[in-house]
Amino acid sequence: MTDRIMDTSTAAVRHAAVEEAFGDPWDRANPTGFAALLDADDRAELPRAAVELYHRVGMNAEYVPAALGGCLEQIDTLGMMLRPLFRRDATLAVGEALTSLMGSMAVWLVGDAEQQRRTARVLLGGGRATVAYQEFKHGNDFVADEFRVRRAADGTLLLGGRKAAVNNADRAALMLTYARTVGPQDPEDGYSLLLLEPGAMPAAACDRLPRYRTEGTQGLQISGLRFRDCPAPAGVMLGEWGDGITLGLRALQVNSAAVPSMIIGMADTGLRTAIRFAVGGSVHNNPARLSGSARGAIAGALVDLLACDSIALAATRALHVLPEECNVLAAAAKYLVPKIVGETFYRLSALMGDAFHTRSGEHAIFQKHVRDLTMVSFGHVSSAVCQATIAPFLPSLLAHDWPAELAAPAELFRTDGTLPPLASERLAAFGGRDGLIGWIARCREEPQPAPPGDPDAPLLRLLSDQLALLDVELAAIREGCPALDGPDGRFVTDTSAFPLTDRYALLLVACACLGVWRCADPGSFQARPTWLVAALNRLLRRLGHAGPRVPDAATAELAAEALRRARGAIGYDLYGLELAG
Amino acid sequence: MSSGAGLVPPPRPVLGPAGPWEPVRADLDRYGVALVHSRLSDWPAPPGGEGELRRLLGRDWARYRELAGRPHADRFRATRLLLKHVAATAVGARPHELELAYGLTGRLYVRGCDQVDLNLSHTKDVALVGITSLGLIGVDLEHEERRVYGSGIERVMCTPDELRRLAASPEPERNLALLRRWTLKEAYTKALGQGLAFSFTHFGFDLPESCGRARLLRPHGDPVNEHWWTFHTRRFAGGYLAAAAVRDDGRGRNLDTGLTTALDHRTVQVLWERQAAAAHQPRGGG
Repeated sequence: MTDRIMDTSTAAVRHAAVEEAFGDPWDRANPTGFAALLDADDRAELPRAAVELYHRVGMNAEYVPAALGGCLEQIDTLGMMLRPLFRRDATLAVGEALTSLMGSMAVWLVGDAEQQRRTARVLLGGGRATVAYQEFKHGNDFVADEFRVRRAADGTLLLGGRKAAVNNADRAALMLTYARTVGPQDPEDGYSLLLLEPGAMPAAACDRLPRYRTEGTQGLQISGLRFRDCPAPAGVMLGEWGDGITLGLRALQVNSAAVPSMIIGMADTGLRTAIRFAVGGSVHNNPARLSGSARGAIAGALVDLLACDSIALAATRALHVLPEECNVLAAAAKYLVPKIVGETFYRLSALMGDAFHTRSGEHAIFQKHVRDLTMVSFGHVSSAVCQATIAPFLPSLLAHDWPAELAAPAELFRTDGTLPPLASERLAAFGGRDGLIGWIARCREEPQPAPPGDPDAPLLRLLSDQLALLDVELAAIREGCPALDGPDGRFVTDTSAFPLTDRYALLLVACACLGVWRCADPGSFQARPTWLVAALNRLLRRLGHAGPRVPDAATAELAAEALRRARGAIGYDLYGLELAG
Repeated sequence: MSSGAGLVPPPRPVLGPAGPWEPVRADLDRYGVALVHSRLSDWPAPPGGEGELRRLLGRDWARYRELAGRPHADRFRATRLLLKHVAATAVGARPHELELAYGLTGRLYVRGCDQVDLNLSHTKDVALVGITSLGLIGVDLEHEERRVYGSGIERVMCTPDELRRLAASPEPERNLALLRRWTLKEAYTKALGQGLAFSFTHFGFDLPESCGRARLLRPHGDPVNEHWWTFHTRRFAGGYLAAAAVRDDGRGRNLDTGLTTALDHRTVQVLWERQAAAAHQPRGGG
């Protein structure tokens, strides 16, 4: 994508600038704060001041490659850079940033030089791109219909079909389009990937369909388009005719890895709101005032977010470090992070009680984020795509015993350091290997020494029991894999693959936590075993293993850390950056 | 775009593994929600001995063994078999292929099958299962003859607004009104996965005259206006009261929940071919 390497600290500086520009979201007078954002949501409108600020800050550049004049160099920092938007408002984040990102990523990866220049010009000029996906069997309304394309005798591409729900269909200058190829010579399930300009289509052959309303992210400007033998100009096709699905999978990996990283911003606000509620509106209150159940909920939410960020970090950095084996990791992150965040939201809802239902005031952003999460995560259709990525990989788990030597490199688990540029060709390999699993063996074979008197010694003993359970789980998953490899060497979509994909994704999150812990700077919070054993305890319980109990003192320490981060406006993630409020 | 489950259909009786399942499937197709009731005694250990039961219970077998000899064991077996058959009906799989899993608060779900959500309640010998393809569901079941009013429970489960409404209703109706509120509160907090951890005095319900759709209220009676939630109570089978809380995530009305169509076959095909090719490349360290 680019040869230039930008140090992560530069992204941290830009992150601070974005936080400062958007200001304290809890300040009721802030035109880009929660009060204004909720008000726009009530009116089902985009938050005007926040949208203007977004473009004034020039945030589109975050997902335009540096080689084309933007700032994008690493996908891990891209996720981090968009968290300030997701913390505040999913409508703003999806409407202005994520939709354009999803409409342009395939262009960066598989488009030609002219298509890339054109897309960069649009985005850097403050314009928008969008995406029109193909129809999926289990589709929600965004993927319940599709566009079609055929070649006329003179070679002109003629578009047909309709889509009722395309985000920003009326506002986007560019629309990345998966169009089913329907010529007489075309195979039944072929697609081509097209970069269309909806505004430039001849009105006589392109109908604008009415606005489409959603329950979450109500302000999004979603509407539909219908083509009637609509001619497309030359030069719109990405890659070769009929290659749409294969080419699209490269962008899918990148987007699947980046979105969970962004969603952590929404969860951050959820936990911050619950803590503000629990300590009585003042973040300066004493953690000792919390009930045991509140401490448990807050500590649990903190470690769940760190676990989510661990898999998001590994998945986004794997795109650069291990492009041939990143697709399963990206799918696991996209599959699980929204689920874990959703579970966290509801656990915190019990803490908030009536405040969970409030639609105004300082806690109202909580219920909005809960509703918006279902829109951002795209629900079951997204899960099914992720599972479709994980399931065919499972039989290759049998190829190795996943010893420590196969463990993925430490670069995957660091929040600093520069990474190699994205290599589109290597992303296409879908290499059927997974270096995260080797971290179970590495941590078992090379346990962290606990000298006598080390206060962490009991936690390290507990960790050793947890590692044994992770090994048991890996063995159980592998036991289920042979059935998936059909007798003729073809993958069998056996229904027993479904629970296995879920288990395997949970196991990968556990491995990402192990990697982050072992590769953290000595003496840092992440290098302590406290968060790790609490995170593994929750992942093991989700896998059905009771596991050893986390000591109360560890839970209290984690709750105190969550409150410390609330007081200091520090992010609930692995970066721990300062926020504007 | 839908906005809240339109209707929660009445519970369908199921007499054992043989169903009948068609009405359940039809309710799911039509409403995106189905309720099923069954007697626990209709779910004995299956013929085929321990091996077959073990196969059917899957990961729940260990828990069942721990309960062996205790009164809960039969109930556990019966409810798990019922749940698995309901889920299998919804996703078009065989019961032993599915895995029931438990969230951190014990909330039930079908592992790896998030196209459906389900929930369980039982009282005496009757079990109620709710299943939905819309989003989340919680259910609760009580017998109408259960006396709750006057036991003091209303003070720990009702909001100030609900206590006022209760006091204003005729004395003979108060027990049923209280019971309906209770079941709705159980259903809602179970859908959220929180159960009693979510204080029942922090939210209330506005009930219609008889069973039917209820509205979620804040403690002093203001409506919450959560359009994506539907709350319903239903009477069935001689005095049982079923409550359901359903969250419609707005996936639209494409209600295909089958597992065989869940994995996009074009994606699977591309990945399988690439990964199979990669797996045959020589690698170091294996």
